Amino acid sequence: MVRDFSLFTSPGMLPTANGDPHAAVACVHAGPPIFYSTSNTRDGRGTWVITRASDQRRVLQDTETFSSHRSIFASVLGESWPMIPLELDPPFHGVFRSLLNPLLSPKRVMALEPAVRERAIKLIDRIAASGTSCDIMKDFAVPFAVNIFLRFIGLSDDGLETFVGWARDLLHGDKEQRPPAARAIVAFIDELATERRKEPVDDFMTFIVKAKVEGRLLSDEEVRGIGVLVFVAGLDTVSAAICFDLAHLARNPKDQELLRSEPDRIAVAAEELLRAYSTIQMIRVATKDVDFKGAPIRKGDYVSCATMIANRDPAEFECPNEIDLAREDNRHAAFGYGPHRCLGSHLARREIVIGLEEWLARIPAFRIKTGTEPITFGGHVFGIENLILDWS
Amino acid sequence: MRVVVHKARCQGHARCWARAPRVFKLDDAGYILPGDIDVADGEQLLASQGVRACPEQALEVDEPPANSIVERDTRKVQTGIEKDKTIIQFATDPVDHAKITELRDREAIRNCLYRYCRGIDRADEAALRSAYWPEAYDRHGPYCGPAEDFIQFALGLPGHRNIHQITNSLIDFISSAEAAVESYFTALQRGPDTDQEIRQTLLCGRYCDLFQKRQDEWRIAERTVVYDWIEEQIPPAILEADRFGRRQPIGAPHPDDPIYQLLKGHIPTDQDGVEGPQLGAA
Ligand code: HEM
Repeated sequence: MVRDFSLFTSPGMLPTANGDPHAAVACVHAGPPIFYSTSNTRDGRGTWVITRASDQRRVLQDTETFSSHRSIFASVLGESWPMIPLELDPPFHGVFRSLLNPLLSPKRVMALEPAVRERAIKLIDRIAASGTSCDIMKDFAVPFAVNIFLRFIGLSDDGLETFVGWARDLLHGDKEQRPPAARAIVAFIDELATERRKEPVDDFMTFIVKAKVEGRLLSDEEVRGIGVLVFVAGLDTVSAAICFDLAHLARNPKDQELLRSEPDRIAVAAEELLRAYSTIQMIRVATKDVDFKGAPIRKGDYVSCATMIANRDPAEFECPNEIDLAREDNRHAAFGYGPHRCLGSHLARREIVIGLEEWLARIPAFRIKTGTEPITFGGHVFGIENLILDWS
Repeated sequence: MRVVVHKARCQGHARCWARAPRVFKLDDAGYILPGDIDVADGEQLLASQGVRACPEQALEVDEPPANSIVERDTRKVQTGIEKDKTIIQFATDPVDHAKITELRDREAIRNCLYRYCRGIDRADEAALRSAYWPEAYDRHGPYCGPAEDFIQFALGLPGHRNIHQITNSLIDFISSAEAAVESYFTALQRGPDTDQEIRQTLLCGRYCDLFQKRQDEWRIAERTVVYDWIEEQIPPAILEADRFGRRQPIGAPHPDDPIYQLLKGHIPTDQDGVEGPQLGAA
């Protein structure tokens, strides 16, 4: 029941040159539907690991038994307020979800699309003008994602570099770098909220500070919980996705040429790339003792539902380790299952598709620059440290 | 075609809408509108793709699908599946109804084989009869003719102790209403022969059956018993009841066997079995 497996420390999970962390975790399907990993979180806690997509669906849909209440972000600061709605359970979760859903609905995202495209074009044109090589992560994916975030909450690009720095330190920094970055983000959100209360404008933060739930205004802590989540949720997720996608296309010139010559296929291809290169491990906390397929889950135990594992489940996907850019019936779990389904999924999808469309339209056949090696890593959010592309 | 919408399961992935925006309508929050959907004729393929795209499995096609031939999307060119390949698929359904029907058919056939065993071993006329179609034919060792006559023959053997077990069954469907079924049997038989001598035999072989489905029911239309093994055993001299001793109840013919109590809704007690008449001369 205990297996030597961890999304943090197993082979291929630590930073690895030319690594393939997704293939490395796909091996769990040869084993049981559930097992215990003694160290499977950033701070080294053990978790149960659910390996089958259908079982993950069950866990994530059953919020009464498997709670999301964890205070992951606040714990970096030694505090315990929840990120909202991520760390709330129904029915209170639903109150905030209803409030936020219309802001990121498919319809609303369509309206944001021209702005997203404009950002992508601006960044790519600058890269194209400055040479025949770049680091996708640093020069395109991260600034693009941060840009859209700023645009979404209604801020100008002025502070871009600062935000990128915070995001980098918080998400990929060490024990020393993370708390100051977290503190800076909290202070920034708190300050912005205060400003918008004083002087309302037509933007996201103003909407939040004026919004009412259950007939009352949101508390400071709730405003902070929402603001911080929107900041952290859409940065490394989107940038990692774009990076994995372009790395795949750089290594598979046929796929690259297909999408460049037939851009209509990009939307379907992006789904397959989301499936094959999923980035998130979700964690739940058991609220009571349950036997899950023979495993004695005890109250308080962590239960991991890793999207990169569900999405390589052969019971759910034919030939899961093959990447088929025209795959049909691709109901992958990259954005989670159940009530916490990624609130930003519609925006994220458009960012990825538009990013790929504009990149392929503007940059000729590209490959990984000779002599460089993309360094991949596992963890709660899988990613690539660097991706140097070359099209000389 | 009708799509059943399990509104409570919708989590707003909007994959149905991405596939078929004219079929699947969303509210302002991006979740599916409540109420089942009647799909217009030209939209069926897209609608069924939308159903299959739902990560929460909140959508379902209502009607059993017609078998239809559809052109597979030719986009597979790049990835190894031949261009323009035409495949037969159930165009409208997320659950594979054909597969489910097949599984139910298999189970019904197995059940019929077991009913035959109960019929023979318990001298249970109704069970035995329910295994054959009325005009069924049986080539059954010494006996060859209408199954009806075999039934009469089998029921007219008093004082026999039989144990028939079905093991491997291979079910090959010839059509949706006919199956060729080969089932291994192991039979322990004890009883008086024509000279009133007790004989005990271990017999193994295979029932080779033509099964037919009529009005949703599977039964044997033709049976040939093939024999693979026979062992004449020496029947014990001591009475069966003495040999079992305190191991009670002992199996009995219909309707005295404890199973018939259970079937009527009674849980058989110790008493029920002990009092029952006992079979077998030895
Ligand atoms: C490719 C990019 C993205 C991926 C793979 C992704 C993945 C996920 C996943 C798996 C969850 C569920 C977490 C859980 O159940 O514990 C989630 C939740 C969430 N995501 Fe994303 N996400 C992405 C982009 C975004 C963006 C761009 C935004 C913001 C605009 C965003 C905002 C959120 C929010 C607010 C939640 C919490 C929803 C709730 O708890 O109800 N995400 N995301």
